[in-house]
Amino acid sequence: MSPSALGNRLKEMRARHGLTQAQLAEAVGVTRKSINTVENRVFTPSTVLALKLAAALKVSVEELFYLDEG
Amino acid sequence: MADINKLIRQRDRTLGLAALSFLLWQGAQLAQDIGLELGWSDAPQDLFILIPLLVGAIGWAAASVLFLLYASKVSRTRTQSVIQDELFCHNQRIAIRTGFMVLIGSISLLLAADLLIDFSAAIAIRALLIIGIFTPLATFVLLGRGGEGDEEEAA
Repeated sequence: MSPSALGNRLKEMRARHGLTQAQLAEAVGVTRKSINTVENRVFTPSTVLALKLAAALKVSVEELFYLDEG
Repeated sequence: MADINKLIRQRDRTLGLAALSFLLWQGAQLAQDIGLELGWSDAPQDLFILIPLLVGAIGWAAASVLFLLYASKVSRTRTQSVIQDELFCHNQRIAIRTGFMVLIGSISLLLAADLLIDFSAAIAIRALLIIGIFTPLATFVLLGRGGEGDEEEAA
């Protein structure tokens, strides 16, 4: 599967907050697999999930996600 | 969360069992139908058909029971909204779309084959049934295998 054009700093931000994938998944109400696939750019989250992730990590969506033009 | 991971693994294993056992069960039936059509009189007694037919039918029945148990566990633990999250819906959509495309392709192939060889409608319908059930189930299970990487520990 080709990587999504939507890049993210999820792993970095999650580590900054001292959260595991499972803890972040629980905070936003999805499975750990979803967090893993978003982090690895296999799955592009919806706007709602992107907003929930940003809120859980106390950052803006723009800080968490970016368009990978390359 | 551990419960959710366990339930997801249980669901994927059950769907995998359902896909494979249906393929065995109906595939054996299809082989039997083809054998009868070709005039192999001992085809129904052939162990190469009877064994997969029985194993497949038992597997399908077991998968149905396991799925009911899984559904009851999900309902009891109230984890449905987490288990059926965005990734689940995304994978489900891809699986159904893949199944549909493969089914359309198979119908086209069968129509083309009908011009060259004679076969009964029962054979064609059973082949399409196998493809229609197996493809989306197998696709969903395969898609679910992604994202099973090790848990990233918090820094």
